[in-house]
Amino acid sequence: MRPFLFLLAGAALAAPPAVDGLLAQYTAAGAQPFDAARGEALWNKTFPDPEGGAARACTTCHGPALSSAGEHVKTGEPIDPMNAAGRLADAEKIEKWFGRNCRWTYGHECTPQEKGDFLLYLTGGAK
Amino acid sequence: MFHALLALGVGAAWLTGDEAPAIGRHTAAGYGVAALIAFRVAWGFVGGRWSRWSAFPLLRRAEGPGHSTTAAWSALAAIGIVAGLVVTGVIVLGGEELRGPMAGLPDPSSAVVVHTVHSALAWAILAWLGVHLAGVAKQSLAERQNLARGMVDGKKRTSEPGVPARAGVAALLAGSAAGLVGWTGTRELAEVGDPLPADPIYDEACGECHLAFPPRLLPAASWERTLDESGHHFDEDLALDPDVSAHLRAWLVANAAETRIDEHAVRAAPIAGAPLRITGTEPWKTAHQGIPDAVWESPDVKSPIRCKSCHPDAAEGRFDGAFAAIPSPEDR
Repeated sequence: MRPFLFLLAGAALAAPPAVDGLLAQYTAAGAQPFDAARGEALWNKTFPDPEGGAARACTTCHGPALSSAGEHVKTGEPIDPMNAAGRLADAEKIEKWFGRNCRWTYGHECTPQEKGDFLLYLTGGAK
Repeated sequence: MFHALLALGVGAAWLTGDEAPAIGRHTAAGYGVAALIAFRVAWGFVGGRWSRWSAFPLLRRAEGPGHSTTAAWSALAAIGIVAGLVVTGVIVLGGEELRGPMAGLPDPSSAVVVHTVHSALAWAILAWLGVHLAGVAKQSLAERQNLARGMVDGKKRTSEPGVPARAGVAALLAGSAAGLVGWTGTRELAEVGDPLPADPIYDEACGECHLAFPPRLLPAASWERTLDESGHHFDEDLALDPDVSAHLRAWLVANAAETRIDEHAVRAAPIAGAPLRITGTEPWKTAHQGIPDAVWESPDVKSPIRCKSCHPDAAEGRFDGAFAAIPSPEDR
């Protein structure tokens, strides 16, 4: 399985071990091959606010590019760029923020497929 | 010795009275002076012969080596002014800084008035000092002895027979006075600038989306409710791990407003209704009244939740008024 995943990642930088571990988990849960382009599309897609406020996407807080310094939309707290060094190094944290942010942005948990696609996109996987 | 210590204490208090950062030393000096005054008043009842109140020739003619009438009235005036300084000082400390034996009791606007009296008395004691020094100098010349030396050796050259020094009684009294004042004072002194409670789990769990708010800004009930409702924390489902949640609950309740006496905690403790939003509480609103909406909407501030915009010491958990400043565009 592993070589296949690396193949998928293509000419990109090697994913951190935490990401590798999670991708293996998602695959074991039945996810199809991951696709960074799909991840990017979902990252940028807007969803309505169930309470009728402004629409939201991942980019709402994280900024327009992976190199953007983000900002919490409610509190203004700064968020490090997604491609900053040391990001995505802790599997527990990745899962925690997937939990909260998917629920807030989409209204439900992300599937292992979606999470895998995201991780590939965020770690610079081939498009 | 009492005299020398009192002079030092009042002097120290005088010199540290003006700047906010010196308040710890100022109150320490004040507590020292309070102990000395308490000692002197008691000593006036059980002390050496010439020290007793009964020996003070206030309305009759002086005799012997004790205080002359002028000296007696002068000493009484000094003790009165200094005692007034101690009492007004404790009131100001309790009403403005919300510390000390009267923490939170006087209402802040009355405390401001008392503060003016306190300052006036400080000038009064300075004036008294001028008269006192002149008097001691004049009397020393008249009697041809260095009266000031009595501050060090407790003796005065006189034709009268000596009186026993009553050192034992003096020591007991001094100890009790110091102990009594220390009992109210040391706990207060421990509060001044002592480190605030911190918890790395709290910082990590609650400090990523916003400042990890110091728990003393809200009563325990608010923290309990925050955790009870962590499934919909301001529109977010925090999904806290149960162990983390239990840890946070215990730590927040143990350090909530009711557990401290300082200017923030004392105002937060009586808040009713277990509110979740610090910026919606009365003490917060009072502290920030008069700040125009334009400030909250400015790009440097953006929201009242961003304490750090104006409070450089927010990350440490302090919001000292001395350092708070609304950012101006020139600061960028």
